[in-house]
Parts: sequence; C-alpha cells; structure tokens
Amino acid sequence: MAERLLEVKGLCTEFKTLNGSVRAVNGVDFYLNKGETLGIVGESGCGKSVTSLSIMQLLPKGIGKVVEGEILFDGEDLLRMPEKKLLTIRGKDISMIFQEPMTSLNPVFKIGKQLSEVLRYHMKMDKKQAWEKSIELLKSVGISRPEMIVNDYPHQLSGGMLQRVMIAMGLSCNPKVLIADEPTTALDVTIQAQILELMMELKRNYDTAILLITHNLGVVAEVCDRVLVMYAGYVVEEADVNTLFDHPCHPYTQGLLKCMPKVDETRERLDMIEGTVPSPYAMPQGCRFAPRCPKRMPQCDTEKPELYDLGNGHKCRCLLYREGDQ
Amino acid sequence: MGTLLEVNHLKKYFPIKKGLLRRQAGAVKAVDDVSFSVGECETFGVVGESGCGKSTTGRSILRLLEPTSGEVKFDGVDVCKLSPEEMRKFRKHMQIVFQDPMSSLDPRWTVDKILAEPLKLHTDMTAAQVDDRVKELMEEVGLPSYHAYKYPHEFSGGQRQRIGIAKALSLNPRFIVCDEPVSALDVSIQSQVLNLMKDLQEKYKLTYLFISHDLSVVKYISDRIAVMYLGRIVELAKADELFAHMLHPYTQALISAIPLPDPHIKRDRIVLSGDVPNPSAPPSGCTFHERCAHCKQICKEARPEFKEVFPGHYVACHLYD
Repeated sequence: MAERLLEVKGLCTEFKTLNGSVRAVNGVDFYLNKGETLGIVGESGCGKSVTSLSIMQLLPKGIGKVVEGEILFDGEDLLRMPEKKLLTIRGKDISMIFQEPMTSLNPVFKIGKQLSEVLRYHMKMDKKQAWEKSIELLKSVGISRPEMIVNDYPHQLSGGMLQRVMIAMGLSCNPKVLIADEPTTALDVTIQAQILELMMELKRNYDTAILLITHNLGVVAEVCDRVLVMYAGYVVEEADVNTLFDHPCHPYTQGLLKCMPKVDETRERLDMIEGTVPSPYAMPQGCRFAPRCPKRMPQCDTEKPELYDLGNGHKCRCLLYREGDQ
Repeated sequence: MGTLLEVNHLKKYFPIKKGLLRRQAGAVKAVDDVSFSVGECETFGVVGESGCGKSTTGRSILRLLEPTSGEVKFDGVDVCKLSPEEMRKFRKHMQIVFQDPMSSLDPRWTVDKILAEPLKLHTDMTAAQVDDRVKELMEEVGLPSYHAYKYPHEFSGGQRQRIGIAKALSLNPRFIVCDEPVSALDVSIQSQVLNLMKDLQEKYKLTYLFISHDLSVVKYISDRIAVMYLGRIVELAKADELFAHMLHPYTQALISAIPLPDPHIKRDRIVLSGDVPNPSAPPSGCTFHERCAHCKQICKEARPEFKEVFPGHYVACHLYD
C-alpha cells in the first residue's frame, strides 16, 4: 500500500459570527498518499478552502476554530502540536499556494528576498546561498532571466509569473505535501495550462503529494487521481477520477457535470440545478442538498444521510444508496 | 436577418502621459482597428484573454468610452456622431450587463429604486405604471417581487446578476452588451443565468454582444465568435465552424488550453510560452508572432490582413495568404 502522508479524520471547523457560530466544515475525512493528487471540488461556500486552512492552521484567530477531529501528518496530530513545532512543518513539509498571487506576496519586498526568507528559516542557509538558490528555483519553474526577476517587486510581474514565484516558494523546501487553493482561478486559460503543466512536472520530479482545491471540474479531470466533492460543509462524494466522471452517483455531482457548458458538444439548453446553496443560518434538517435535488424522496427532508461505501473507494452521501432502501 | 450593428475600423487608444507637462509619450492600443457586424437577434461572442481589448470594444460601442476613431453604426445611425443629448436618448436602445453586479449596483439603493431609475429618466410613465413595470421586470428575471425593497448586498451573486439583467431590460432595448456576465458565478448558478439570457433573447428578440474569457460559455451562447488578441480580432467564424476548423494558431492554442471535464481524453496540448506582450509596445507585424509556432519572416514585418478564407470565416494570419 502506498505511504499515507496526511490523514484528516472527522474535521469540524466553526466560525464565530454575530448570529452565533456557523459550522463551515462538518466531519470531513480523507487521506492523501505519497505522490498522489487529490482534488476537492465544490462551489463557493462549500467549505473547501476552510478545509485547507484548517490543515495549515491558518484560520483567522479568534474567529475560526477547529472544534473536532484529527489531522495526522506522519502519524502526528497537527491540531495538538505545540506552535513551535508546527512552525517547522508549515512551509517546509506542508506548503501552500493561494488563489491570488497578487495579494499573497508582500508588495514592499523584492521577490528574491521573499524567496530566500523561506530558505533561510527552514533550510538554515546563509544570505548568499539562499539568494542563489532562489535564482535556481525561479529557473526551475520556467521563469526566464531569473537573475533579474529576483530584484523585481511583485507589482512588476504578471499574474502568471507571480503564480510561478508562489509555486517556487511553495516547493523551495521540497515539501511532502503541497496544498494548492485555486491556483489557476485568477489566470487566463493559456497561462492556466502552463501552470498546471508545471505543477504536474514538479510532482513527477519530486513525488510531492498535492491537495488541489478548485471549482473547475475540467482542471480536476486533467490532473487529479482522486476527487472529493463537497457541498455545504459535507463531503458528498468521494471516488477516483475515472469513476467520478463515468459514474457520478450523488445527484449534486451529476447536476454539476450536466450544467457545465462544454466545448466539445453543442446543446440547445443547459441543464440546471434549481435554487441556490442554503444559507449557513438556515441549513435544511435532513440532506442539505434535498431542496435542490431532482431525485428527492420524502425521507430526505428528515434523515441525515451518511457517507455510504459503494466499493472500490467510491463513497456517496445520499439516501438513494443506503442498504435496504434500494 | 438584417444587420443591426456595424463596427468599422474601431480604434481606442489610451494615451500614456509622462513628465511635468504631461506630454503624451505613447499610447496603449487597447482596440486597434476592429471591424465586424452583428445581425438582428444574433449573439455575437467575443473571447480573448485579459487585456486583449474585449471589454474596451464593448464599452466603446456604447460610447461609455469615447472611441479614438472609427464608426459604430446602429440600425443605420452613426452612434459616434450623436451629440451628448441625442446619445443620452439613444442609450435606451443599447444597454450593458456588467461582470461584477456588486460594484455596478448602488449599494444604498433598494432594488425597486434601481430598476425604476431608467424608467423615470427615459419614459413618462406614472408612478403606478413604474411600480407595475418594476414588478414585471423582477418576475421576468425570476426574482419574486417581495425582494423589491431589499438592498443589493442582501442578495446572492446569481440574484444580483439577475437584477443587473432586469436593469438592462427595463427600457426594452434591442441590443445588450454582456460584459463577462457569468464569470463571477458558480457553475450551477452560471447555467441558470445563461438559460435565462437565452430565454429573454427569444422572447424580446434581443441582440447580444457577449464578452467572455470562457470559451465553453461563449460557444454555448453564441452564433458567431470573434477571437481577440492584443486589440485585434484574429479570427471570426460561426461558433461550430470555429471549434471544428480553427485556423489561427492563437485560436488553436486557446482552445487546446481548455481543461475538458473528461479524464479519458488525453490531448496534445499546444502550450504557449510567455505572456501576452505589453500593449503599449506591441510586437511588430503580427502581434502574435513572438509566441507562434509557425512564425515566418513575413510575420515579423507585415501586419496580416483580416480576410475571408472560407465563406463567413475570417482570419488574420500570414499562413493563409
């Protein structure tokens, strides 16, 4: 069996708001093996980004909090680890790329300075070594003239270039796990293709496990090995990528796949998922997708579905697949 | 099908000013000699990456940005020659839906006030008639009328975009520029809004200029598509034709870059190197030549002519000389 690097068990994250606490992530379980790419897809507000921030313990202090669950990295629980030890893991063994490269780099420091900071802290390099390594890293992510770019400030670079810098930073300490939160969403398609290509190449070279968070099913189909689909704080379906696209089981996944316009087919009309994502203050009692579900049954309004195992690692949170109900 | 909108040699240059006296030091050629026509009840899609001038084209047509030169003929009337007062009156025929409804709706106005404003300015309806029309509009875009006294921030993204569409519809326009109307929306909401726009088009015989960076969305909604690169249209064809026989190397790269939601398809992707060049100092000749795999000597020297290669299929590339 492949080496299990990261395991999340029963993760629940809550946010304090003026109207009481809101549970953004509700009992999420998953694991990530070495060299594997796991995708988390879902629409805005489904809890996919909060899941990644919980793993990194980057939730806003005093507002967001993990209230239940375990996050095991190499057998150790990140949630119960002293802050000091966490600092040696975050950025080194587990690193993260954010959605907006323009806002996640510090605008007043040169690119080279920001890259070498990571290297000096985690790899204990001296100033000169770190500077040289930064140039080397920029070259490895396909930036031409890296000797000049290290002296530039973030605003002098384009979005695609900045995302390459972020990837270089994320990979600078050869992490075991790379969390990429919507890494290509702010970029144009041709640049997106370049960045995805780069991430896959780096994965092959360093055997890094990637947790890719995205709303784009096309990106998922292209790069992921396994996929989790999230809706309103729950994982509603888990499967390997071929199974998910060939035999989606949850009505939400089916709806998502059907309502996307595709370039390789012509349709008169798009399928729709009626309604909108429920408000976190007024979540449905039973299945959270029930009000929008085309296959809704009477019991969906009252009973909470579990994540039922369909075999071969395919799991689905829908009463349609409960034993004895079929 | 008659021609409703004709754009001839439209140019929009933004001056770059430098120094103490703010002398003009150069220009960003955001739209550089663009010509096309849009038929009645047609959806004309414009695609391209950020900075290619697609939004500037849309706004120049409505004279939200004053074009530098060129001609925009709407139903025979040259829009660029109208006086400000004539233009104000003319605007009821041409409307726009913006990308980000949050920043294009006044946050301090309730929805009914937002929707009533154009009616008060452009028509002589009585207050009661305006009220009825507002209710009718909200119904039309699928918003229950009890939402009328809410503020924009109380709505979800999809609902706000519906308000934006209702606002554009209020004066029964014939032509609507849709500037990335679904780009900020989730997939499930995106399909609702796209279907709504198609329904409204059929019902009111609307003509759309649909601007988007998302090729799959443009393909779904458009009859004809223009692909823009660095201020110029590089290829124009019927939607199906464009995807079946893409001619320009840029279109080929753009289409091959779309990730398809099917893990079994493994494609030979054309990955473009580098970024879009700086529009204030575009490359000589064909602006795409630095990133093009088929670049020849002539591409560096002469700007390719935009011409018809097959019936209805136009391309600007020296490969088809």
